[in-house]
Amino acid sequence: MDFFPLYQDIVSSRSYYEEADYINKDLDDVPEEFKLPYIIWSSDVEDKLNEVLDVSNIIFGLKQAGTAYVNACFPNKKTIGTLILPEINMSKNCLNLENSSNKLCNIYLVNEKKTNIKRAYSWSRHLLSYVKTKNVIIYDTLDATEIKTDISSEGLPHPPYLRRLNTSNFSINDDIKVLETPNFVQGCSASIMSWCEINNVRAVLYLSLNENIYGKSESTVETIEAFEKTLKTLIQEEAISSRNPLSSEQIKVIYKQYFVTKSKTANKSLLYT
Amino acid sequence: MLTFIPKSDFNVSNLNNSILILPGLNNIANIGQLTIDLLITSLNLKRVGYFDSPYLLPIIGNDPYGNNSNFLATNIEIYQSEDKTISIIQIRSPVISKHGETMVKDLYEWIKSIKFKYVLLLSGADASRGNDKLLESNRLKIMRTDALKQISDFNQQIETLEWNKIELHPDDLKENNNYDTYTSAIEMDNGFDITPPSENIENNPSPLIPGCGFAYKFYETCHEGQIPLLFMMWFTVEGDNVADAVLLAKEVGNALNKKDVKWIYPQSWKFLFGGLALASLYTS
Repeated sequence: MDFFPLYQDIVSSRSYYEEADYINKDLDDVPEEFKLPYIIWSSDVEDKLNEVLDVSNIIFGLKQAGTAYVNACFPNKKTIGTLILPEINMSKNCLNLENSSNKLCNIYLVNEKKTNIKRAYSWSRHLLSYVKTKNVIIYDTLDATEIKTDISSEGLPHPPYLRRLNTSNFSINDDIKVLETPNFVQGCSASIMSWCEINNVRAVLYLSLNENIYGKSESTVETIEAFEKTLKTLIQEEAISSRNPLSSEQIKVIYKQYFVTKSKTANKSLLYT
Repeated sequence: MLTFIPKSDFNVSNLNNSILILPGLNNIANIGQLTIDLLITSLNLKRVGYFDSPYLLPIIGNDPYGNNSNFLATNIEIYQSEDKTISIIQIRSPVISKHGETMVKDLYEWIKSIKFKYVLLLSGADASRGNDKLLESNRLKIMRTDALKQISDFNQQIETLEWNKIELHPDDLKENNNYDTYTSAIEMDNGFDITPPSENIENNPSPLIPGCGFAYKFYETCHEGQIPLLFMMWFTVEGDNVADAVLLAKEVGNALNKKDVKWIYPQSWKFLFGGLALASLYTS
């Protein structure tokens, strides 16, 4: 029975919105070619760029924690280009390229905060079409609510918590656990790893856990600390020089200035006993 | 554009003359996908290739069928049995909105390029929006393309199963296309009476089967393209659909004349509804 102006909710099938597409085809206002991402290279790189950028390693830092860790591991990096995503509003970006709140995508440094997962394919394929590499290393995070595990015996997962996924052709000897089935990863890191698996490029994805604070997923110092175990892999794959690596303490000093520790959020962590 | 990338040690000609099984896109309760998982695990199929598509949401994960830590699962892959008689495409993520028809067309083009013996399309359909006649009958319904009706040995198999009693015909559905057979959530949400918009019937004469996602569209495309295809739809509602997947897998086994299969649940079904609750919740 309906009560004006309220109407009874219909329990629709999951394909409800696909049925809407099926019946009423809506045309997108913006043509597809205007939604494609594009790269602007710095002038000194563009002159030397023949077809593709040939490197031994590509390292992606995704979302807050991944960005911060990669930024801290490579403090003396040089920006060589920017990937422009037409849908991202950059009007509030500041001039400091390393500010983690900036919405942009510099090569080696990505803040994927607002990138829609539907655009992950375009973003990743466009970037990867310009580079040729031996190895890909990705740093990303998971939300605590996304983890499926036997909490009755293992308890709720807490940072520091690190898992990895690697392509079939990449055997890694570290003590980092593989992300257990049936957990899965979406978005840009999934798109990049899929490309690597399909094209037989060695790749590894490291996933740290965000804290759940008042229902919001936040990166803390503990989230980023979990990535320290991966330093051995970076040295092994020669992404960092073994002769002069930054120590973990030096790296911690760099990213700690932007993030809080879990202890400072303890009085807000109502979800943990 | 859908691109097929076979594994380096796989010969693409091995796909010829095999039976292809694939799930419907965006179908209710992912019945197609659950059944495919069961078939891959129980028939011990091996991955032989990948697809790259811009129209599916990207996802990756660890081995869904075993404990191999050097196995990265992607969103759309193809598996084959050891005797090369059965090939299965598994699609693990939904189609991106407004790209369903393009994905259907891409899949159809690829299937047409390979000479499969015939195709089985598995999909769920929304039982809550069927009429009484549908709900009182067998939960499995089938539709065959004209090209499949030319394959005599498979049609004999269907006759022995008496599936002519559960067969739906496109013309029957079109006669009932005034939303008698199915209610339309879209019309009811607008608060209007359930009357068919006449312009939609002219522009889009295909009937709507709620819950099938793009499966019916794919069936239609294959029907017009002369692909021998059997569309198996399982009427269900969302919830714990493991039993539905097992029953549909048994029907697929009947169609393939494999009746003695021991059905093994894949690893990925371990925490389908989450793990057990924290023990500390029950202690004082």
